[in-house]
Amino acid sequence: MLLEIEGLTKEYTRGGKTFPAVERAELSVGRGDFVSIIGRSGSGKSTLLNMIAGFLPPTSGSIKLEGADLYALKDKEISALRNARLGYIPQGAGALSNLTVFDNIRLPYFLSRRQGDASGRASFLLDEVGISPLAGMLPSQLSGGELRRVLIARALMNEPDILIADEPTSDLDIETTGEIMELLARINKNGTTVLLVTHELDTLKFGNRVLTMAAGRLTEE
Amino acid sequence: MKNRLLSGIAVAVFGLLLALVPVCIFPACAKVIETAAGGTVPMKCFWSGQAEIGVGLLILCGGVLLIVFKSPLTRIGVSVMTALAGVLGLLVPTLLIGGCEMSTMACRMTTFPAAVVLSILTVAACAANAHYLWRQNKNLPVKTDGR
Amino acid sequence: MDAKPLTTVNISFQTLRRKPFRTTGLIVLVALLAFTLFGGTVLSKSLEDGMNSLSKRLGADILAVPYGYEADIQSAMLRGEPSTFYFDAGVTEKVAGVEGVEDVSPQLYIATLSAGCCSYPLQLIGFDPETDFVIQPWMLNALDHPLADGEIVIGSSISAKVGQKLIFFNQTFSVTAQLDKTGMGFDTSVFMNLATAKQVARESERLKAHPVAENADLISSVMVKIKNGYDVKDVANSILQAYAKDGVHVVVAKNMISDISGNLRGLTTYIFILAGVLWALAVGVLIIVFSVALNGRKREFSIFRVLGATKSKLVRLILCESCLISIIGTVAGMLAAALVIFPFSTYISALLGLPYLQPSYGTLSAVAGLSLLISFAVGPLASIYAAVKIGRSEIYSTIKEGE
Repeated sequence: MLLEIEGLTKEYTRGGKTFPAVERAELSVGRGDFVSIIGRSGSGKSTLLNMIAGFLPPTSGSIKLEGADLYALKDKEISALRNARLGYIPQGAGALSNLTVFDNIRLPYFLSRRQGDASGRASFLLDEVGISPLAGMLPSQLSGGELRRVLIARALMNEPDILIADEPTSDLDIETTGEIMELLARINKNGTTVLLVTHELDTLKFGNRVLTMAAGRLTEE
Repeated sequence: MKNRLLSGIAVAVFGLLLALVPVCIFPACAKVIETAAGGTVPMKCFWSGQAEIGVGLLILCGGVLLIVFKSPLTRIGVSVMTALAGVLGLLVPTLLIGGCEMSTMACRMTTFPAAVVLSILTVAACAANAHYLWRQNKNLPVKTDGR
Repeated sequence: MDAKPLTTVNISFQTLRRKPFRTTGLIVLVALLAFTLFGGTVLSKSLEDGMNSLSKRLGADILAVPYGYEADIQSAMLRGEPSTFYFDAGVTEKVAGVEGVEDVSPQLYIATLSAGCCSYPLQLIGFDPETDFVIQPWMLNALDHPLADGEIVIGSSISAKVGQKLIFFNQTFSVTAQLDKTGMGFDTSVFMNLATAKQVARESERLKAHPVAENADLISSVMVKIKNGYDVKDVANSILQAYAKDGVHVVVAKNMISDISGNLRGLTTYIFILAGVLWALAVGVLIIVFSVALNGRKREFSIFRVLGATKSKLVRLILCESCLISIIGTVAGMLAAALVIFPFSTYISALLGLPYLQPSYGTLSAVAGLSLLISFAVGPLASIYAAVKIGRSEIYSTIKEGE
């Protein structure tokens, strides 16, 4: 198993009352899976995803990436792991506005010490997601669909084990949504594990496993 | 476009100031000395000032040309030549012609320092511009951002 | 494609480039500070050195001058402004007889219409090499014989070499010595013995009437050195009491010097207050700008974290941005100050009318280093709060807040 989640719980305290946003979630993801998690907004799916990506420490339970417990790691180690093995596509405008498209894509490469051809890989990815002509532009000059492609290319820069996407098709029109989902499916076919959360039923047909999140509980169909 | 205008205007202003220094900003010493014999002889510093006017006008033209020409290669050429004119502006009061013997004379106190400072600024601006254009130009053929 | 690696410095540089207005403003602010700090310090140091050299080497305690010319002797000594005031040569003997006076030496000032090199009024000072204790301490090379007729000593600003011949009023003089840089009027004066000075005055008659040409028994001032154990004020008063009726007035050198140092202290204080205010202003503005920008940039920093940047990387990014601003501003400001204060040093000293001696290269580089350090410190100091704050925040909260 690539990713193993056991008894994952996250509790929030609001107005003196404690309530669970995610309750005892269990999930195993194998290499090459395309997992979709669907749920209404407020169902806890973003909280779950953030815990999986290593941004939000759980109240209890564990997340293991190939056996290594994410939240037992120090900041430096978890940063390195996030950089090398997790490709995260944030919700909304997730590009760095001060850097060009090309620099946005190759940035993850430079966040830890490694050797290789960053520019070559970035050019390859630009071509792969179909935005080569936009390399020198700034994110503010791009459309929503183009921007999403930049984020996908950036998440793929360091050849991660798993691509995690938080509602990658929110605020996109139907046509662009289809294109983005097809792109993710193609990436999955090439061997990258994909885990995404969505609240659009249309996108479910692209995955091979579908889970539902409702009131903090995760169930597989 | 913005850089072209900016560099051109900066150089043109330096040139204009340099040309104006001996005329009205910091004139050199009175232009004629009376010898004991009663004759009149113009002093070296006057001729230095005249030469600086010429150099200043040349630099002014360089600045205007930097705005007029669009081709980066032409502008590199103009920048280099204008930088060399700046070097000339530096050499006139220090080596080529010179001025009065005493450092408290108007020419050595104000005219020459002003000319030297403006010449240095001209050389720096033109060299920086040439360097910038050269690097831009080197990148041009593979540049894909369409600017 | 530009394939420069995306180091911390490069990323910071790109960020600064995308906000040209803000970046330029901050750089100009720091440059202003560096300009004031470096330029002001060099200026006040030069004046201080000029002052020290004046008080250290001005051998005279009292200067006796004709009544009404007290201000003129000061401008003659400090700025080398050609002066023409005279009284009878007998005053030298009279003053020498006053109780408490140890040495006296007469000086004769002759303003020329034009000198050999330039049409610029030059101060010719005649002095008595036998009794002099004012001019000789400044000489670079000791004289092996008392200054003979036709021999001259030149101030440091006159570019001639020892042994060279100079021509004034159709007469040839040979340069036998040059003075060290004094920072005052002596730098532009030419010195000769009294007989030669009178000869020059007679020659200049051909161009303009000169009182010394008519009456060879005139001098301009008497330098007075007092005996140990006597109070300068008392001796000055005694001279006044005895000879004020003959038109003799006195200037006490110490007062002259303390007047100047009073002005100087005022100027130096003003410069340092200005630099201090600018420093506080720069730090304050940068703190505000960085803190405000931080809130708007939480999303940006969380993205860096998402991509695998460590907390220390974020801290380095912020520090690097502010350091780039402060180092660029500092270098620009100091270069600008150097372009004003060094080429125009003579002009500045002429404008101020105070003794001005540029410090040695060692002192200058120390001043430059210190200014650089103080001015550069603005950057890291101003952003340390922002850096610590961003380093502490969690990614999840910053993603949420940034939305």
